[in-house]
Amino acid sequence: MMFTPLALNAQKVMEETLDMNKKLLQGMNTLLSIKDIEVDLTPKELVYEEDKMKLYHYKPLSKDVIPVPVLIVYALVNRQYMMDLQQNRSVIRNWLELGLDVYIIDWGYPDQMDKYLTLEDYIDGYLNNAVDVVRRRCGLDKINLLGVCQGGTFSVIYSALYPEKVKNLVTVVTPVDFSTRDGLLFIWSKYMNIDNLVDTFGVIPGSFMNSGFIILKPFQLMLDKYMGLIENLDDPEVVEDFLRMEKWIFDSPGQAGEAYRKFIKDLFQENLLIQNKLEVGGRKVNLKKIEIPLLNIFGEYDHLVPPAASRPLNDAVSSKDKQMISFRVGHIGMFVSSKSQKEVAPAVARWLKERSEPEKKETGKKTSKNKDVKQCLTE
Amino acid sequence: MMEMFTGKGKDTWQNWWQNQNKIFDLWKESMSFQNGKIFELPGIMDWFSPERFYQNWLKMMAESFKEYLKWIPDIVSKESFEQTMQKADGCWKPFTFWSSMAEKLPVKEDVEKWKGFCQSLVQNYDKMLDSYSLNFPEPVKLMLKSSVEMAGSFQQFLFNFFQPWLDYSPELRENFFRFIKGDHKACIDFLRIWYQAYQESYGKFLQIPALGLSRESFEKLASSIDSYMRYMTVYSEFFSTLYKIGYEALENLIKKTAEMAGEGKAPTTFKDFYQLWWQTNESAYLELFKTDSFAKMLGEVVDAGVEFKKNFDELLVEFFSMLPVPTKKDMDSLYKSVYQLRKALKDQVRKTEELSEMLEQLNRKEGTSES
Repeated sequence: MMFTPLALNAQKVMEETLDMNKKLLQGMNTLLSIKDIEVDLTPKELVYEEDKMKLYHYKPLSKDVIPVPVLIVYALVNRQYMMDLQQNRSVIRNWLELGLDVYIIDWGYPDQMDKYLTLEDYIDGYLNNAVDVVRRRCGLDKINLLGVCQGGTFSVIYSALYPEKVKNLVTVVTPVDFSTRDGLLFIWSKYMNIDNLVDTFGVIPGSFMNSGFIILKPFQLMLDKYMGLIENLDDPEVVEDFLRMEKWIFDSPGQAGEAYRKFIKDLFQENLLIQNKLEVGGRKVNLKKIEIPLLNIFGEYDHLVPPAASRPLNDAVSSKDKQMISFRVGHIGMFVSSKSQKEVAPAVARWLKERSEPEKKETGKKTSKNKDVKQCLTE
Repeated sequence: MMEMFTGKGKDTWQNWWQNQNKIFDLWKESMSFQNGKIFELPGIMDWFSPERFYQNWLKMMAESFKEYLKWIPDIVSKESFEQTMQKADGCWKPFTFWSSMAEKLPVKEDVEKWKGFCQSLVQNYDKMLDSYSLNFPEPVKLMLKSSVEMAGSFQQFLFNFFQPWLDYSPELRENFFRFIKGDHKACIDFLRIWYQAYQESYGKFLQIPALGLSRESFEKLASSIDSYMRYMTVYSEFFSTLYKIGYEALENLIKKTAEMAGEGKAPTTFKDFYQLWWQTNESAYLELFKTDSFAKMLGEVVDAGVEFKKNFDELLVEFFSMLPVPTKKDMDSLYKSVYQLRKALKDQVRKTEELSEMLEQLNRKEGTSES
């Protein structure tokens, strides 16, 4: 008899095999019965658009809404609807129910027409204009910014450049110190010839970015994830959740070349931001100019933006009111896990509520467009 | 870019490899040993007919590049690179090709012997001519002497061209045999040396400045081929490294399961074993991925692929420039103009808004003072 180090138990193996067969058969029915996967369902209205960028305002879901709205700045990589992937686990819906007044930027899908867009175009252009629109709509000088991942980095840069327009800053899974070796992307990006990549592609394809993310955990993300699906193929709800996430993961916009070039070279490769050496539009980004209240949130198991990339922000700013909260979640789990709904969303809402006394615009400025807070919320 | 290896593209690549083989067959014909003769360099008679030899050489190169040219238009199919990139066994195809070549390489000692033979041949021929010098008229002497000199020069050229292959052949052979015996690092070394030899011989040839009407096209074609060779080498090296780690992970898995069996904790179901298998592999690859050497290699693979795409794109743009369709170059120019115009327009709108706001404030101020 051939020696095998496996101690296969005949009965267990038989049960396992039969169970798998049952699930596969049932799975056929499940897959055939799945309707269109719907995401991004929380009601919202388009309030501003510029080129491919769109600014949405979510309809408030609470009677007791905080007076200062929060603008969510998502990353250029992937789509912002990850925060509203499914209704029973939507962090945005949760925030609305907890009384936040939420705006969100949708960066759109850059194509070759956008290859020359720079980081300045995103920060001094689109982001600044979106902030101005929200300020104008609510008649406030300052609004709350909530940046996610790369969008968090944008928000940090923006808050340093335009401190007069930001009341509170919340950063979620946001990289600011790119010198860490805890995350593979931070190691790998040091050796990428970004100039050649941008010069050749113009707009870096989303599929290229996805390939990079997938090989971070090849067996888990290319194999075990799908084995896990088979395990749950008899459960339509789990399958639908899986398909929503799958849709989001591979719905990756391309990256406008020039902005990507600067982001990777100046931040990932040169780590200029945390050293206060980054220049945007000819101005130095000095993090010490951030004096507003700061809430810095990161995931302890985040393999994309490890804690070491986020933590240093609190020491880099001048804010006296600053807080750092870590949760036992990963990068995506920060927004879609049950912990996200039970712990993360309430923590953010509570923190903002405590710091959101409105500062009305100075009289005489844009009076025709000024609206009181109540009016702003009902729009 | 990654779409050139399946469907129609796959056939094209196969043709391309065959063409590669043709080049090296021709080379082999020139350089191989046969029946006790030193070299078959188109036959010993050709040594005294350098112009014929040169013509053969030119013909060989012309045929080779004609084949390359045939290859180029067929490649215009999309969808291929990606799928082939995903096939791990893809890297063994070029290796098989290269290794078959390595088997046919002459050993260095034989080449040294041959070099000595040629030198003595030329020297003796000179002596022979000198001994007859009084009996030949000057034009005949010049012709005879020049022929030998030309043969010598050409021999020198050939040596310079193929010298890298001869120099590296012992290492290529050694690594090839080490790999056959199970040393996976040898495969990576083999590929690196192969590319080094390529760069110092064919690579240099492809970088010769082109002349004439189709100078630009030829240069783009040469760059495209050259960058493809670099890409294939780096890509193969990359996957060889991944394969090596996979192999080590397998060994580790066997060891681990044996240990677990010894402790009475061996996996009892397929699922348990599957979990152990993928997690062992994942952690092995994670350790590799964390290293700077891997990051560097990944950077090189991406860069080599991008460089090939860039060169190949330029070649396609060159081909399509005569057709009534806008090329990427044309569109880039348009995109830039649109970007600049859009920016200028936004700037103007912003300034207009600022001015109208100032005007509004001024009017208000005047209204207030009047009242």
